[in-house]
Amino acid sequence: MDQQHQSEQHPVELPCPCAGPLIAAFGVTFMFAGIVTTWSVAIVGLSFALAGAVHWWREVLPDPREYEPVIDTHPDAIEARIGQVGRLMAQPTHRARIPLEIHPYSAGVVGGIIGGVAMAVVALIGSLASHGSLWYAVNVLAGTILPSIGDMDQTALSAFHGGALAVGLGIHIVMSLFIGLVYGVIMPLVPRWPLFWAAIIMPAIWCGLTLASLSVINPALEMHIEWGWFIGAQVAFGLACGAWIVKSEKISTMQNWSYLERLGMDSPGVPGMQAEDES
Amino acid sequence: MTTAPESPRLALKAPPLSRLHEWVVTVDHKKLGLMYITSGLLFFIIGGLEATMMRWQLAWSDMGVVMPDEFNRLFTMHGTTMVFLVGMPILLGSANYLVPLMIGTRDLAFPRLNAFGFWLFLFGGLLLYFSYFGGQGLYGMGSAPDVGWFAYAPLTERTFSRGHSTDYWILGLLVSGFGSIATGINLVATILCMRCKGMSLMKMPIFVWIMLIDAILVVIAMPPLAASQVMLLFDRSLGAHFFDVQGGGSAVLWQNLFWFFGHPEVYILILPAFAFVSEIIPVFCRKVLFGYPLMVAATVAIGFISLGVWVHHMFAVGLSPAVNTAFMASTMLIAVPTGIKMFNWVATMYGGKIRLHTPMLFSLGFLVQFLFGGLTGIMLAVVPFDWQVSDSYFVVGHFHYVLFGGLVFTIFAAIYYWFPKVSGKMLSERIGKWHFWTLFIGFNLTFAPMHVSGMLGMPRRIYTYHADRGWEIWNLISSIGVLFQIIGVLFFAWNLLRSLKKGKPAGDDPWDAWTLEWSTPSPPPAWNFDVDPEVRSRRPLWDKKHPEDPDWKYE
Repeated sequence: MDQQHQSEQHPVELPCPCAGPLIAAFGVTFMFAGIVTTWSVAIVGLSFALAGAVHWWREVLPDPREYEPVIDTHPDAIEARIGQVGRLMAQPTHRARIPLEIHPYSAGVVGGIIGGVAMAVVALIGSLASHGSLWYAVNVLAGTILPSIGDMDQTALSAFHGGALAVGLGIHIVMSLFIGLVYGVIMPLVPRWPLFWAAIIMPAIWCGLTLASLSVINPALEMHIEWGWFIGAQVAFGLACGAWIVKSEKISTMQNWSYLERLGMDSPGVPGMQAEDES
Repeated sequence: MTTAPESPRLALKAPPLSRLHEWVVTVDHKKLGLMYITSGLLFFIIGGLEATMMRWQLAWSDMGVVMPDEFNRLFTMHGTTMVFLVGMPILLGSANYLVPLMIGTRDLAFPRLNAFGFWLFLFGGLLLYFSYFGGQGLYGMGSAPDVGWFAYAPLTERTFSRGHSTDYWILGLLVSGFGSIATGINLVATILCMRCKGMSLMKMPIFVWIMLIDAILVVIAMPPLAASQVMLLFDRSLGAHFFDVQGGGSAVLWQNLFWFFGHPEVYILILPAFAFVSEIIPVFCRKVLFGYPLMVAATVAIGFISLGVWVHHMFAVGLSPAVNTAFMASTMLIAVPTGIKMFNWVATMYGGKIRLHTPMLFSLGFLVQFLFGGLTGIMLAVVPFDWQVSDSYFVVGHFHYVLFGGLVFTIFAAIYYWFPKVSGKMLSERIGKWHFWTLFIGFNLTFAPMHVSGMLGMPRRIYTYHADRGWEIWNLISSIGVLFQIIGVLFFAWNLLRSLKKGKPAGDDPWDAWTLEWSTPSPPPAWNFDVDPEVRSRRPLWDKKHPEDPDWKYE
């Protein structure tokens, strides 16, 4: 009823259908087509374009021609569904965004270091067991950015190379810290069994990607990898890093905090400041 | 002022000729939107058939399905069709149909200009395809254009491209380009000036925001293409030498002018894909879009940066290291706002009550495939890597992951999502899922192996290859994938036709969605809204459905 009343107050007006644009567009196209056919096509196009334009202008000048449609179709009424949706509120003025709690970034960094050590231990054991040398694994790792490693035979790969050790250690430390940080961010988000994700799912994804792509990216390196120990080292990293992060205490996110609080400003009288002292 | 008793119900009863007349003289944004989309889908079938012919030819070594000249025409027409006659009309048609409904107005700002834009696009496309009949010209040379969709100079000069095929390419795209510019201007004016009461810029649906940036890009990027095409026409018809190196011109000038249009064009095509999924994912996860302000900022950033990356298409030309480095950096920079969008879509899904209906499945397919295409794009942004795989099948695989895996998948998502609003009928979920899975499998079978064949050195645009290259298995897999894609598209066509005839009635709001178009009848009447709407938040229908917890309290 209310809608009907309003529509009576403001009549609906729509532009009348108009053939002008169609005729003008047809003419313009023919004008251009005349360039690759013959001038008479262009002349016909020009005539159509002018006729269409005149028809169009007469529709809009001095005032656009409009009509009032018969309003005989109405939308369904929108019903309120009070209480049908559960709400996760952080504060009366703020809808919560999940996760409400996360692991601190430091847990990811430390987890990365611990995972890196666990991975190195497994890789070294594998290196000793397969090739009787501690240096094999680190040499192969260095091969990811040192092309000369890919050309070495098994004997050379089992020998000590100072440059390869430095490069391999560098790669291992940086990657361990980075992946540890990624674990720290992702693990509060996984649906359940975080350790299963850390120790099985994520290493499986990484190993699968490496296995699938290494033959294209670095075929020389692929020949030297001991895949069983490689997978074992990834699982060891995931298990150690994941266990450390899971054990760490969770902290709440800053989503309820005001911008001033996030900036670390602590001053009485600042609006929105958490009144911890009062409680 | 006249009174015309026009309504959809009456229109359905009218004789066929009257209904046809009603459609060709219409200035209604919804009808024009549907005409854009229908034309785009028809051209999609034509472009798809051209691709099928090429994959048939390349399925195995030394095949003779088509001759080399015909193969050149096929890849030229396929690329041109898919970019200009499929992507553009479907995005402009979607904006035409949805923007006025979403911002609560009755039509675009200039309805007649809108009709003019559509007809220019359609006639331009038909002129391009007329080249198959008229392209021989007086010389008896050539047929359809065969210079590639970016028509590099000096191949397009009269010396190397006899007959009129290249002229048809120029003129067809020039005409349809004018139509795109007209519609772009119309969209910008409509969005900036005709929003309903209460809809400030930061209360616009994200779809409208993205379409605003997209329309601005159209207005900025299309004129340089038109200008360069006129220059090329002068070269070919009036003896000018803009791109004729022997006459003092510059072939690199064409590359700069074309790609100054061409790379924003990629974003013009992919931004609507972002717009579709940004509407669909929240509805099918029952959550608000995560980080709306940042999504808007990322859209603006993408629009801005996309105007400054064009030289990454020209790394192999031999420009100076400083230029290459600068454009490598800008290309990598655009990954940042794009990455923000990816994270926000994932964050929207996280913790949501996900409903795996067909629109959501296609949106998920988009996320996976666009991520893959984006990552290979980052690889190609690295100049030395680009030198290695430039003009190889790796590049073909990359841009199909972006434009097919990205854009086309979201077009299907959008069709499944808005078809109930447009037609009043639901599409079949069962057939829709068959459509999704066959297309998903077919797409990945076709385009993933192209990365391998490209890395193995297979150049793009070769019409055949010898057996000793190790490319056969990858090409065979690619061609088998096309069969799956054809089956997928047939499922879609069947679903569309079947549902139009006997689909389940949709009602006004079948997905329990939140933007204004779902408050209109299905299909919406010519006047859109009985009463001018008024909104207080980005999800006006949520506010009405949940008055105890309206969004405007939190925005």
